[in-house]
Amino acid sequence: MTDDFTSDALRYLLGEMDPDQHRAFTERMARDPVAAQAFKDCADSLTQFAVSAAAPRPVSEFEREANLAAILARARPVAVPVPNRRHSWGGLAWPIAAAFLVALNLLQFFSPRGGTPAGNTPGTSLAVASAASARATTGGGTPAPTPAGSTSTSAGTSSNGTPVTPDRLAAEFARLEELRRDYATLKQARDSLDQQYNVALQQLARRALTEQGIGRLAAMELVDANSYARGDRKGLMNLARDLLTEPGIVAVDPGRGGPSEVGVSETPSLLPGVGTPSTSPEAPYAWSVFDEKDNRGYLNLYNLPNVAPADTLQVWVKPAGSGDFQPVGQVPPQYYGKSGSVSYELPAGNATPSEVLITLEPRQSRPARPTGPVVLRGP
Amino acid sequence: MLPFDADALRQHRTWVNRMASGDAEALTELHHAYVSILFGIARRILLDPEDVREVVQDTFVKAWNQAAQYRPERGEVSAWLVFMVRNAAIDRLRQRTRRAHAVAGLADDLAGDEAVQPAPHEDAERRDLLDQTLTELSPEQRRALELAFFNGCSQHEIAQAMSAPVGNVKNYLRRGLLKLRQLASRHD
Repeated sequence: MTDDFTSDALRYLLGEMDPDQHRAFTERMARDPVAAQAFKDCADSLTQFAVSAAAPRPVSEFEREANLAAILARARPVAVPVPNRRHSWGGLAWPIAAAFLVALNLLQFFSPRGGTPAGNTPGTSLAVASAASARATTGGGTPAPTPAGSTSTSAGTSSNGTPVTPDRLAAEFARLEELRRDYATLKQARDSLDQQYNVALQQLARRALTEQGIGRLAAMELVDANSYARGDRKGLMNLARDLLTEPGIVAVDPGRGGPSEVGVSETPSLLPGVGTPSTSPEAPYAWSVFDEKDNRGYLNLYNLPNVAPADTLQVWVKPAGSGDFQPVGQVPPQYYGKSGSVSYELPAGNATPSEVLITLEPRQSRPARPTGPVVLRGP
Repeated sequence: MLPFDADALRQHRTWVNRMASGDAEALTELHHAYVSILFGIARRILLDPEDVREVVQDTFVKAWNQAAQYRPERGEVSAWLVFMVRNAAIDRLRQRTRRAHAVAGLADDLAGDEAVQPAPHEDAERRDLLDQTLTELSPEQRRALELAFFNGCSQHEIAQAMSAPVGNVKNYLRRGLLKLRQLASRHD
């Protein structure tokens, strides 16, 4: 093989020849087996170089199947073998799995959200905020990508070894696309409902404060220890921003009567709300409102951590002007790992809490001061 | 020495023959064998992941439609597919008028070459031999071949990018290709 032939072969392979040169080179290979073999060597060698220089891109099984479905859909209409009906359901495995994941998301979307606090007063309506725990999402309904190494070597079959046909794959791909669209629509609806929820919550708070006349409410936001140290807040106080008259204090007309009975406990304790606590993988956070007239505080807790049976989540408050935290109760175990609403009552004479703290403490020891790791702290 | 052994290459030729007779299962099998490699080639040429996806799909569709025209005496199926995806990607690159950008950024690209990961079908020994291919080339040969293959540069453009005479570039390409052939014959 001459240098000129090598150069021509390279130009032929890389598409640099004009049509006449291309035709002449093709004809030469057709009549000269030696040239054809030399050309083949060049092509295979350059292929070797290209594969060496370009890293194979790992392709997840999901992406590979989707890519193949699109190809097969475009490759029609070509005669295809009759599918083996004995195995026809096997090809549906992955879209069914995808649909199942979407269904799980839908289930979460429509599942009951959080609980209502004890009692039924306007003030307690604030505690319904536990429903916001539904904001926690599962990350979408698409199957998780698999490592490249898991790519099946049983080419031409679905993941369980069943033959895949173009028609079936195309249909499955279309179904999956439809499910994705439905999921996107529902997610949009959920986001919209969340917005409506926030508006409704704000209106409820306003009504509770202005129409029922609770008096002065001290509101604060609690976040996990790391966020607290960084000064990060979720901005929940925005809900009451237009009602604030001074930082953290929601003031309303005090002359319109007091709240209804709220089921006050005999000793400082936490009353769990009712309803189904929701589950969330997000960091814990909470917001708190304290009704100064009744000395009653409400805590809406979100994404609480799971707690070992030997431990408990202890709630502490530090009344304004006091240097010490006081225990006001323990978070009911049914909210561990979930979200929910609780209320507590401070003995008469205590000032409005200036700080609220939740720590992890041994269930039996009942320490007088916070000793365990901080789970939530505010404001 | 190609990324597949002789038995696999024979199997690939069988698949293409079956594709020519309308066997979609053969296309599926070919896709499984080559999708990672073709994605890697296309991604090396194109910036936009969507372009990469489309080019790879176009290549398999074209392979399906032109299976009857495949000539094994002009190259293995791997070469047929690799050049098909390369040419489609270069066409797309030229459509996007990004060739100048690609040439300008070549130095960065070469400096930041990703570690080559074995495709699912490749054994480690074969991957090592493929990697050895690059080390056997001189830096100029490798760069000239990369500019030609992955950037679609003409010899004059390569000369400009490498600040070298066109005659030298032709030599780099020729000698590089001959070196690759020698390596292939040594390992096969």
